[in-house]
Amino acid sequence: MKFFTKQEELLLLAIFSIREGAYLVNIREMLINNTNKDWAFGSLYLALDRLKKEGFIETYLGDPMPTRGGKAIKYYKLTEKAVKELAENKAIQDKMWSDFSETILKTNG
Amino acid sequence: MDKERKSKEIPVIVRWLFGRIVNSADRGYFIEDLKEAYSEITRDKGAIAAYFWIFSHLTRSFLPFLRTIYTRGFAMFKNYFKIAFRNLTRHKGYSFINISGLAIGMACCIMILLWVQDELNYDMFHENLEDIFIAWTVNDMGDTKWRTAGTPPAVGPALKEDYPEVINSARLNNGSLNVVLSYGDNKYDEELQAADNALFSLFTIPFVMGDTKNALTDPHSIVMTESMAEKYFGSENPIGKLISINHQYSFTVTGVLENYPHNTRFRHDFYVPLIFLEEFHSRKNYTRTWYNLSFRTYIQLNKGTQVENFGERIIDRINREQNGDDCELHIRPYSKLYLHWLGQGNGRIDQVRMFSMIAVFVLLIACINFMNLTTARSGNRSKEIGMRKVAGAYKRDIIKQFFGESIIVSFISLLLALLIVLLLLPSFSDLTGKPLSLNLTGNPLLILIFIGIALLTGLTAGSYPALFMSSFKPVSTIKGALVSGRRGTVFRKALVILQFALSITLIIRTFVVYDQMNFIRDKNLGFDKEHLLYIRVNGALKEQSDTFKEELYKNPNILKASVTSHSPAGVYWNGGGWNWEGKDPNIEPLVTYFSTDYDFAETFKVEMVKGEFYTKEKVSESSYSTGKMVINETFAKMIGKEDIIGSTISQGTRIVTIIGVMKDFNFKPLYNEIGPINIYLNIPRRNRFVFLRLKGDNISETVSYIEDVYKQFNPEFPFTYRFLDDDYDMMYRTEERSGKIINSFAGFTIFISCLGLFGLASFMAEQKTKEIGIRKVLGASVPTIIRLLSKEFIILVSAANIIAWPAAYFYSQKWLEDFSYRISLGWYVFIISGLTALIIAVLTVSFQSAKAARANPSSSLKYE
Repeated sequence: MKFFTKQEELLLLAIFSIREGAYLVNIREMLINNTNKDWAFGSLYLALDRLKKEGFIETYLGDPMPTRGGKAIKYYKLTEKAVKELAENKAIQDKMWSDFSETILKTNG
Repeated sequence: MDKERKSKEIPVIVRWLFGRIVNSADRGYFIEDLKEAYSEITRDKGAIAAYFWIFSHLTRSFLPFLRTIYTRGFAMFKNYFKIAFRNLTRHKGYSFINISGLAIGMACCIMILLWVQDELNYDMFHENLEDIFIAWTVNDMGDTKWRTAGTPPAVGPALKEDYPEVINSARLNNGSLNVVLSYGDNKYDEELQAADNALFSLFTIPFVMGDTKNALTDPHSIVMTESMAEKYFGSENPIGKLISINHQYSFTVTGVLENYPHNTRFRHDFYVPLIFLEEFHSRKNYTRTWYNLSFRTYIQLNKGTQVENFGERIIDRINREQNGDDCELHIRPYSKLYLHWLGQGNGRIDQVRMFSMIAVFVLLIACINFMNLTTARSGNRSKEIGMRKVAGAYKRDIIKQFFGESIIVSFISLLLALLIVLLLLPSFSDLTGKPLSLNLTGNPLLILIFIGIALLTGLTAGSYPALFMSSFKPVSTIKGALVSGRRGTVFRKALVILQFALSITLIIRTFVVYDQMNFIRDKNLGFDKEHLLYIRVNGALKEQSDTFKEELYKNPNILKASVTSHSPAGVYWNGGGWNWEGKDPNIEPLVTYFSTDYDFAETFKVEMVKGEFYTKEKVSESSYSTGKMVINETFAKMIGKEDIIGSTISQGTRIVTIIGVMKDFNFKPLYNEIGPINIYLNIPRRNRFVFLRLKGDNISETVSYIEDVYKQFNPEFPFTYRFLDDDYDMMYRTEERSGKIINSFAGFTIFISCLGLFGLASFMAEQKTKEIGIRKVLGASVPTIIRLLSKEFIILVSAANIIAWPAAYFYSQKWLEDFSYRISLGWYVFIISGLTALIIAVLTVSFQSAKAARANPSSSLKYE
């Protein structure tokens, strides 16, 4: 399995939660809304490109749009492999975090 | 996202830069996405905010991008480097030839660059540079127009008065006053420059001490440079000190100048007010006339003044003052004075161009070496290229690799070149007479230029190998066929021819310069310049030259002495307006004047053609007042009378009788043809030199005798003397220098070319090892094999000759046109140069060939 970086993880989760029609603009919007951090266009693209090369996401084209001068949008979606890896990542993380949350609870309680 | 949102165009530059980051397949979509977000920001926060937004995104996206490249492409680059270094270290001989050739080429290039830079910066440091102009005149001489920087002295002040756009004007006297300066026991011969005070504000000539504005206001004030102030006053404060000129005038030091930088035309150590000339020459209004062309006028114009035709507006004034003489006045930017002067040729810019061209040539020759050796040996690397291609490398990647290699080599060469420059620069400075230095810390631009040169060299040198080798077919190379050693041989041959053609051209050029210089040095000037010593006439000598000569003649080693107004190395005193019976109205000769005494003909050994020279018995006073005159052959021919002796010529109301015609002798540098000259007898105020004809032996004894006599007459003055032939040697120093520079670069080019030839020859010998072995076994002799191996190169160098000859011919002919007296280009120059190149090439090649030919065939054939 592959350990995702935080950025990759967030990207994949964003695409997952948007489900249909995730593309660069709304992926970024979602990230900004949830993290309160301005994400750079180019770096998001590069990360997506890398994930695509590694086979975690696929792209598909939508219908041509008049606002884009007749050009289509390139949408992203997760591959099954990505979903599986995300789950595994989460499991490991939960395991690692659980101790932390227990400690916090104890000191608070 | 609503539909009516109009997408805003993003700045082109941003688009382009993002385009570099994004894969080409995704580019369009990415840009559209970016546009969408961009237009939203524009709508919400305004265009300016959007601008900032998009640029911040751009910068923030680049770091991740660089990281991607690093991981994606670095491994490959690392491999390229590794292979390049392995190749360099494995084939040390070829690497040495490549790197040293390129290094020498670059070193030449860098040295020339430093020289060119210095030339281009000559006199460019003046703050008002853009606004300073020099006035020059065109004077009608009948059939010719005479262009000169000389202007009448009244022009400068008149310009300033009449034209509001002239902010400032300053005049300089052409030439200088040769005087003796003395302060206490310090007495030296010095040259003074007479100038207007405005000179110091017009040009950037900073003062160390004293008042810039009024330094030369008092007619008896003097300004000197720092080094001179130290020479005369040591550690004392020079300001206000009295210094005496010719023990006659007492001058107050009013200013001390900073010492000049080396690259300026200002070179005088002393300045006196222009008005002092009137007193010095005892001629009233000397600095106020509209006639005398012996002044230079510099003006500073208001910014934005219409410069074209500026002169035309002032011509009226001059012509009015001169009563309709056809004098034209023009102005010319001071910044163009040095490189583009109006004299012979195009001025120094020609030389700058020529040397720049040589620099490019030398570098090109070095690049050719690299190309030839790399492609010739490409066979050795064909397997590597095949492997790379099989493993998925595109042609592009191979090209990248080979360019990379050549750039690595060229940067190594650059380092070596800088080392060579550091070593050679002192001698190059001597050669050029310029204190050049390699100052990298003070000149970041220079570093950039060097890197640029290295990159350019790398790209040029790598271009052919990269394109050539990247097109190998993997199948054939991997099969191990000897495909590529022979491919591209035609191109390679052409390059060798080009190399040698360039080298031979330079060799021929060197020969021509030497020939011409020797020609000029040995040319019969019309008088005998050997063993002519001269001293300045000043003080008591001016009045007592005859008794002085009598005293000198007591020494048998002094054969003859003559007082003159000028040195025959350059007589610049002339006038027009001469008339005679039957004069062709279309000619208006400018006649040079020369004043001397009756011993001139004998001292200088000039013969008479007709009539006789002045003699002591017949004429005891000045010929100016008696109206008798000796002229030269050229002038006599111009007048064109059969019985010229006794005929008269006139200038205005003055009529003179010709009593003799002298054989032509040169009285100007040999760029000029001999013109008409009038030889006057004894105009005492004009007397400036005594020329002494000495016997060839015991020179030093004779000189000390002269010094003793001189001291008797002039105890107050220092004794200085010169030999005339030294002056002539000095005169052509610029040409001689450029000749020497060309010579050394010709040497470099031929060296680099031969280095390349050596490399090629050894490579071919290596390739033909087996062939040579077989031939020897079958009975070929060593000479046959040497011939076999050298034949091709001899053909190539001979072909180069055929190209080089016409090129060199035109090139040299153009240079020679500057000289009135020049050699005709003999065929032997071409033959000798060609043969030189050929012999050097043959020696280079046959060294390798002989080694290969003498090898024992058994060792080359025993494998397989």
